[in-house]
Amino acid sequence: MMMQCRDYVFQLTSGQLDEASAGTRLEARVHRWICVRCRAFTHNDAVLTQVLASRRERLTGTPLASPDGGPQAPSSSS
Amino acid sequence: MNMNPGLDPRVMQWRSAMLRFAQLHIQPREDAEDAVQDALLAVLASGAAGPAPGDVRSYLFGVLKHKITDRLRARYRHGWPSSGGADDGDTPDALDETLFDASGHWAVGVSVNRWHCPQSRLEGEQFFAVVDACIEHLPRKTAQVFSMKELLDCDADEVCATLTISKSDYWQCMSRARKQIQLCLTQRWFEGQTP
Repeated sequence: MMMQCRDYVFQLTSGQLDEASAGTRLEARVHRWICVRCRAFTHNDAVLTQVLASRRERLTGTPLASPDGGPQAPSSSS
Repeated sequence: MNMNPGLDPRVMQWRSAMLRFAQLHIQPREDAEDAVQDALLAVLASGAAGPAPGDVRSYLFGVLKHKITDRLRARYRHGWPSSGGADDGDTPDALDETLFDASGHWAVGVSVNRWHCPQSRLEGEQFFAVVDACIEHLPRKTAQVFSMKELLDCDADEVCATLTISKSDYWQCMSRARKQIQLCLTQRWFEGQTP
């Protein structure tokens, strides 16, 4: 039976598709090919992955404006 | 007052960023502060084995991630508390009922359009404030699973073991999070953007 949009989106967003069998991945590819909305959703999900990677880098990267007024510079912490 | 007099100033300057990061995973704030304190003390205890001069940031956050995971594991060792609400992860997802019809196809009226936005607009403070707001609207359990995967870099098995949830719960939470965030960003950012 043909994969439904709801099942395709669940497989994609849950991470199951990464671990799926070759048959399921082929089914997903065919579904994406024929469904313009799932194709758009997949594109956006890929952008979201990049956005989340950037967010992680920002949070663990350059020191951010202190939410608690705590020390930002070495000289203020001694 | 410096609560960690033995720590290198290079380390202390990251304390605020570490606290902000910890608060994304642990509440109340006092518990997040304790996790940061544990991480700083672990760095202090590491002595000569501590970070190389150019590697302070990744070292600190690496230690902090372990301390956060330890605290989450202790907190949820007896299982995820039952909220009695719709945020249990294994209940039928109301979001799916909005997005899809009974036959499993996109519901009439739900438009899914490709995001179009210049890369530069996806790097600004304003955009990430919207991203944060969308993530803050996730249900509690979904948010906890999502942040462990996306921020702590934990794999699925580690998330399940730490939060004492099933793999099915994990998949439901991750799917709900990504669907809800995409919907939220579409509404709050991408719709109405001029190319």
